[in-house]
Amino acid sequence: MNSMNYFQLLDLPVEADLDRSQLDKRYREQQSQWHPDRFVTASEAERKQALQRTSLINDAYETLKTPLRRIEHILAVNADVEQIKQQAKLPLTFLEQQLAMREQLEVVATKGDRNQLTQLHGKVDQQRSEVWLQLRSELLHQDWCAAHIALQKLQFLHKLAEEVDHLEDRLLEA
Amino acid sequence: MVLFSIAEPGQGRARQVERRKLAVGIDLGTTNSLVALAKAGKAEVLLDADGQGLLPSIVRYFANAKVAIGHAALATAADSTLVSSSKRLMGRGLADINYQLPYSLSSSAQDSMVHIVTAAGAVSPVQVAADILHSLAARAEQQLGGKLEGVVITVPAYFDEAQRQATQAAARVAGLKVLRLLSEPTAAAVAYGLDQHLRGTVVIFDLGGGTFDVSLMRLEKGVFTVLATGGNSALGGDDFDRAIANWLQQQMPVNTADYNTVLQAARSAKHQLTEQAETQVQVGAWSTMFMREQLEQLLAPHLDVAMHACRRVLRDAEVPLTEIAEVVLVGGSTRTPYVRQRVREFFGKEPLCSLNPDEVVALGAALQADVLVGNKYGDDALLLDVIPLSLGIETMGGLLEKIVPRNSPIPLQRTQEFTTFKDGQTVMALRVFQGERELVKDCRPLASFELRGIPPMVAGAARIKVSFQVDADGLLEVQAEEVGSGVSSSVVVKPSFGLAETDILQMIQASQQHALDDKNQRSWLENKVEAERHLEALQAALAQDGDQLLSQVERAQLLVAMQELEQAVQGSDSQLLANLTEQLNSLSRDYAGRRMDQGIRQALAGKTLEAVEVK
Repeated sequence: MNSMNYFQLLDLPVEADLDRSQLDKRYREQQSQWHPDRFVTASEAERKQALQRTSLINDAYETLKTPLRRIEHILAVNADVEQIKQQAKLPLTFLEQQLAMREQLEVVATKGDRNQLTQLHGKVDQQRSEVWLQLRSELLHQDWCAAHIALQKLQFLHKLAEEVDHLEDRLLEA
Repeated sequence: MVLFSIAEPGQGRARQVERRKLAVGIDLGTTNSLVALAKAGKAEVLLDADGQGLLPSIVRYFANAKVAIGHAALATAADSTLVSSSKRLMGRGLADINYQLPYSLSSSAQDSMVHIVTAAGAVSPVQVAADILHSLAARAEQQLGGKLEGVVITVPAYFDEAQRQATQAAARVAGLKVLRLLSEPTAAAVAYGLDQHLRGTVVIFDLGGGTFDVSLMRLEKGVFTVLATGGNSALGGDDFDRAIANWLQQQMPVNTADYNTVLQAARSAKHQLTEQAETQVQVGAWSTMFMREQLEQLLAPHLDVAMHACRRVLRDAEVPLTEIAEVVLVGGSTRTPYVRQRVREFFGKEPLCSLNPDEVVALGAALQADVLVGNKYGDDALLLDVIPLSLGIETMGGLLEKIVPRNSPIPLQRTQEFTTFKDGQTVMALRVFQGERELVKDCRPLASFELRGIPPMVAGAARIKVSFQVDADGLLEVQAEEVGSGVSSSVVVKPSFGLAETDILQMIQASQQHALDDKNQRSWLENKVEAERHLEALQAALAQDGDQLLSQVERAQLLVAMQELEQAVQGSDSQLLANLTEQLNSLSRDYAGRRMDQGIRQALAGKTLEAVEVK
């Protein structure tokens, strides 16, 4: 199922920046055609086919809707991901930077300093948009290995951003 | 009938059957249940013989195996047990029920569904639901004059796998074909979307007698999509009543009244305070004033839980409050002013309640049933729903590995590969859970699997593919196979808190026995009517021309046979009745022939041959 091209399934161009309204539209069209509710009085075989097809459409939609999963999928349909994973190594500088920011987050958490947290939030956001720019260019040049590295960076940053959000919730609720 | 009788035109002809297929929507509620029918895009609730739409979701079980459902169950009777609010027991174990009930429960194992202890023995909540479904379906079939092709049954959106399976089983026991299990808030959205033409991003806030659901939906022309859903399958008006009852008991200097009486007083006080600011509560000789403020204090913790679920749904769907066009109120408990106040405060807008909150779910279900069965009228909508709770598998250390996150659109399929962790391991156990917590002990067990016959390999070499399929009803099917070696392994699935297939079959068999009894009863009635008609016609004929056309002996024979039949009509032996009717039939056949000849002779008297020989 991983080799399935979800862009093709929903008749969409393979793009990192997908038009969300277009995605929603195609999704609804496909669902309208294949949903099991359209096959209630059909044969067992047709019902089963509808069930499998809509399961696939739903998975495609969920995958393409989320930016990071979408990029993952672009890499999967274009390159041998297992092989790339062997080659693509995150640079040490990036990992050190991540560690530093996580330490900072811990300090903010113990102090409960909201100003510092806002600063950290800004820093994470800025880095994310920088890596996104980089990723777009790698994809454009079809440098799948470099794109994979950028994706990994984004996954790290995404997790960090989530933790920042959680801490913000906690400090605001307190 | 051989006795020369001519039917009037139209009489006795088969009742004209409509060509449209019959399908209804059933709202199987905790407190009340309803059945509704849609025709050409308009739905209406079907009323019972007394003109009432709501059927109280109560069943009285008698020691003599008789059953009374709904209003009929209200009258107290000796040697019987009244079962109410049993929807909350569907797919639940003994440990799940941490509140007082007016009846006792039993359970055969820790992870099996509870049974209700009644005068008629242990009764499964599935059986209670089946009895209610059967009664509503009978109401529909009687009024529509035909057999139902199928039904749409609504379930709380937050119902988990075991609760949905139990509902599905109840429909099977009641002999109904389920076109779809539809989430209650989704059904309400269908009613508002199709009937009131509501559009945009809407919140359906559904607080019933026993369950709470909140769904965030996007209603567009042709497609209604559930973006996220949340709630609590054990939160509703029943909890309000219990909170009030417990408070009342604390106020009483000596607690002499039984819990049911206090509970009833609590319920009526709650209803009084919908319109009034204060009310007098009377329990036996004791009474007290009960204020709205006090009520709000008692309800607040329950509403806190509900509002927390609303917050989580908005967060899951990543939809800001400002994007919400309308908040729709569903369920009888949204009549409570304090509930409306909390909803208004949270969403910052006046909630919408233009359709009757008791009926709206059944109406939506009926509209969808009509579409699903194939009665097209053009203005239908496709419903895209989600799974309310995450699905996962237990991994080392009792952790839950989520395989399907909550609010994923359904139908869905996921495949996951597992492997052995010991050299030569030939057996593997898998346990499937549903819930949001990290540890499986805090989640709900759904089923356990045992894979046997895995070929012995080094640890990690076996590849066991497990696939999860959730259909449009939200029902799960799990399959597992060993793919590494090409040798297929056997899988044993044991559902938790569910019913084994044998239990369901047993219930179906029992209900078929009931149906058979009903059928015997009906055929006896038919035979009786037939016999009486025959006797009447024969008596009239004998009085008219018996002396002319019959010999003395023939006449005496007939009279004896008639007497025997008259006696059988008073009795209850269906077979004897049929035999004697047949005996009388054959005895009177000659007489009937003679009467016909005479009739024709009289009719032809005075006519020429030409006039009779028409082509």
